[in-house]
Amino acid sequence: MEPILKVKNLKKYFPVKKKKLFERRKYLKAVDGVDLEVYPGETIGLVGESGCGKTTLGRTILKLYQPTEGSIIFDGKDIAKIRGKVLKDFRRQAQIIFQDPYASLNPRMKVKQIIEEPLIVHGYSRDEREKIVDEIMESVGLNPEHKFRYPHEFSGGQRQRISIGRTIALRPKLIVCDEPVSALDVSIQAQIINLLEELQDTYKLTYIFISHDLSVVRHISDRVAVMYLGRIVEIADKKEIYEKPHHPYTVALLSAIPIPDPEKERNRKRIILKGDLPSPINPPSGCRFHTRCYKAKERCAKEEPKLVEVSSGHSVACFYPENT
Amino acid sequence: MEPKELEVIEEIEKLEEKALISPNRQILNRFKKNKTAVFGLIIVVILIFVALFAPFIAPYKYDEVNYSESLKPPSSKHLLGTDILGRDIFSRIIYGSRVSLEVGIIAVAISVIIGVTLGLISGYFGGWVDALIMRLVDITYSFPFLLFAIAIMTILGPGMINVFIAIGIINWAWFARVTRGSVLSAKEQEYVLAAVAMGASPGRIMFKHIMPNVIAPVIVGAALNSGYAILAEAALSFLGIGVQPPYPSWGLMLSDARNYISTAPWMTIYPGLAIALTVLGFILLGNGLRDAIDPRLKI
Amino acid sequence: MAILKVENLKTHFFTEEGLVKAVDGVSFELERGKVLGIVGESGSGKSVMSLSIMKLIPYPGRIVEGKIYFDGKDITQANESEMQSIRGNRISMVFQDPMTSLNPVFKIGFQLVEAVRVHKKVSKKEALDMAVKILKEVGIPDAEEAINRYPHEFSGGMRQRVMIAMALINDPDILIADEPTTALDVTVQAQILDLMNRLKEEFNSSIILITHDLGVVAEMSDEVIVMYAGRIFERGSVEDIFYKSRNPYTYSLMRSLPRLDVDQKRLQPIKGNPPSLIRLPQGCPFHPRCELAKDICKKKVPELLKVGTNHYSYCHFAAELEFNGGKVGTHS
Ligand SMILES: Nc1ncnc2c1ncn2[C@@H]1O[C@H](COP(=O)(O)OP(=O)(O)OP(=O)(O)O)[C@@H](O)[C@H]1O
Ligand SMILES: Nc1ncnc2c1ncn2[C@@H]1O[C@H](COP(=O)(O)OP(=O)(O)OP(=O)(O)O)[C@@H](O)[C@H]1O
Ligand SMILES: [Mg+2]
Ligand SMILES: [Mg+2]
Repeated sequence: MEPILKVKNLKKYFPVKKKKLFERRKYLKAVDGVDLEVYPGETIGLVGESGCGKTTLGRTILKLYQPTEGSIIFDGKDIAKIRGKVLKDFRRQAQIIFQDPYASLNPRMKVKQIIEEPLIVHGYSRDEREKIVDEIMESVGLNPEHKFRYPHEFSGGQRQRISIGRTIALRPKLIVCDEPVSALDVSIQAQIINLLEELQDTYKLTYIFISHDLSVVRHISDRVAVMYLGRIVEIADKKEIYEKPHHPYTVALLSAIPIPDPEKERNRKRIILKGDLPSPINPPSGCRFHTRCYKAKERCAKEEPKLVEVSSGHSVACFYPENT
Repeated sequence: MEPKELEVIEEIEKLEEKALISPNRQILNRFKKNKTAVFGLIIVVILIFVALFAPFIAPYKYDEVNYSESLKPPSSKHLLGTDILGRDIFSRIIYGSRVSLEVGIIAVAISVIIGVTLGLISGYFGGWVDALIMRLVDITYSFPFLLFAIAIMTILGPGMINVFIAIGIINWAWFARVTRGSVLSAKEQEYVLAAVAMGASPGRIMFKHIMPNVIAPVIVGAALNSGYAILAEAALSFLGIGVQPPYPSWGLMLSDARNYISTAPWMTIYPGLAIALTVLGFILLGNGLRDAIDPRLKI
Repeated sequence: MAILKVENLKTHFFTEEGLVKAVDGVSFELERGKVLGIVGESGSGKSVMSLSIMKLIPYPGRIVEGKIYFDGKDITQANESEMQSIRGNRISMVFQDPMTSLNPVFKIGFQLVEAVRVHKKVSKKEALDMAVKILKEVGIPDAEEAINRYPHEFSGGMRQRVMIAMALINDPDILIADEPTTALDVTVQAQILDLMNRLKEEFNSSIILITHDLGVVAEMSDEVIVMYAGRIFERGSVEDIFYKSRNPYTYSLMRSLPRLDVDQKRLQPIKGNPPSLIRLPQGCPFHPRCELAKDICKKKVPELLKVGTNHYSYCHFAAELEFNGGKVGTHS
């Protein structure tokens, strides 16, 4: 099958404010050479620690940020440099759901206006819009009678439903879900995850699902990509990556998640990483993870490992992978 | 979702259905509770009323000269006394309110139009456009206000319309700065990013999604600025380069009173009081609005 | 004897919209050297309860009923100066957001020294030595140099360690940690939890650990309290709660979680939203969301029933029910 999205060597650098007048301009390398293929109908989970570049990657793929380098092939066309009408057409097919159900809805617009907005932008008639808004509200589990209410009259979970409604109004093919449940209570998380799964079945959606919660990602994804400091360090089918993680970072990440089962929890071996995520302005030499890695050898500080496929569909960027 | 589940959610919603009040309602409630703000509003409303119905309220015409009544102290015939030409101070103050109100509205409207437009452009497009406009703002700010006004008035020549223009041109910078700030913070909001993601045009994003954030600080600023504009007009007229006689501006009345401060203090006191009260009214109203809309607004 | 004993604690907020019964009749005991986990959805009263123990309830709230015995003495009756000698000394607290609870304009060394000298008559030099020692203990590298840094010069995880150091510097009897790891990454969370575990052994302090993460609770706690709508819905040993729960809410909460160790086809969410505390449903506050609700649940408020040694459940059917939430999905 042809991928719906093919990202090659994608980079996004943000200029850093100069502290001194004659300093050389520095760049924060938020995304620094990402290759990724996404197939129609699948959910690809994107995990990694805070600040590793997940959001930036998601937004750059959607051209909310102009890429610094690299190509983004969507449906066979490179969209990295498109503008105007072609860009608008792309926007109809690729959408985003944000993390914060409070900041992502305009507090001054009624629910109907919010869901209708993309339809207006893309020139739907009044009657069509009327019909679609009702349909959408039902399908995201909101009562269409509430369409004249403002976002503040809804709970966090319901607001995320509104936000999802706006996203699917144009029937996009690809949706970047940027931590759509992280701000929600555990009991509400499950409602939204189920909703996303139902919508995927109904509308044949493709998801890039960003989260730092590996349990949520395990549940919803078909494949999982692990990011570290602007790079993808491991990518594999869900089952593979959770059962046979290769990259020491993935192993540490998986071991760090507490499991709600006291017996299992007590008998688990935990790998405690030293230190924090290094700065993306001056990433470490060689393998970016070597400063925190429990397996690091001399070579890791000098040479940079490439992301290579070690078994079918399972790629890892490490000289000394685990479980192989 | 299954209908049954929807029903349950319905039921829960009914249970927690609070008497939800809309944001506008909340603002109104907060405003009403603020006594000084209501006081400010009352003064402004009185000013508007007086200005509109001046001919009916004032016992005399503003330019009705009567030499035999010259420099009379307040009496039942002339409530607030008369000036050197025997004109009724009370009536002149009543008519003078029209000038103040017009300055408050027209001069500020000019500032708002220029300032908000430039502020929107500056904040939205950024880059060199932003830099250029902001330098212009800095330059405008760096001139002493009155000096700048006098300079403009000398170029334009005295007269009511020119007073509006001069004050309007000077005050735009304030609105430009506030608008730009609101635009910059709104631009970072995720709902604006969502509008970009759906393919909305820059114009639509600006007017539909960003503009509403600008309105609150601009309204508050307009109320406050009206107070200052009235003060500025009084100053210009006092200096003789503002409103020209015989039309009664409060500043002009003060100017006429200069030589009679000790002999006919009512000529100074009452117009002065009118200015002070009106300015106070607008400023209290502005502060009250700010506190009701958003106490954190940095104005 | 228990170091802390809370009896029928009620903390209410008298707000303009109405009376918020944030904590409404909570009782529990905490033994020395034990970890008590408190879980519950947002707004269930976890933070208010811990603030009540510190007597730091924000306006317009106050304790309207109940007793809090700390080391045998009822501190609901204590005055402010007595409380000040307890706070930060014998009971200390770590808040969720490490940035807002450290003063940005002082070096952390100074803040730690102050924390000591408020309670103990020691010289600056001695206090500084204590500060360096505790920073080393919580795993801050180059502690001697780190005391001269400002809070913003630390990362989030490091700041949280400084907060924990500050809370532990006076060797408290009780450490209350309100969502100490929620703002942190999992790898950093693992570091912090590991640290808290070690410190508990070392100082024999008791810990009240507030979180909404059932995994963290399973890892850390000896005893667990499950809160809902300001009440204790279930209380028991960690095994009781995870494997032999007698409360439908506890079970629904566990069942709704996506899990790292189990395959689930569809998640099973709890329907609806938590209720507004101002207008609680009649009867059991959970009944509109409860799958097992019967008529009685809509009418009668349940009681906290004893269902085992040190195991209590707030449900009309507590005696008949038993759930194994810790093993959800593993056997089917
Ligand atoms: N608009 C921006 N300008 C400058 N730097 C940015 C910008 N957006 C993100 N960054 C920086 O880029 C890096 C990656 O940020 P990003 O938000 O993509 O991380 P993330 O993986 O989504 O983290 P989180 O889990 O906290 O959301 C961070 O160091 C961040 O500070
Ligand atoms: N200062 C206050 N004024 C009024 N009500 C308050 C105040 N503080 C807390 N409450 C109310 O008390 C209830 C319990 O709040 P609390 O902060 O204890 O919840 P929580 O369980 O800690 O939730 P979270 O997981 O979100 O931290 C909430 O309904 C809240 O609205
Ligand atoms: Mg992010
Ligand atoms: Mg809390």
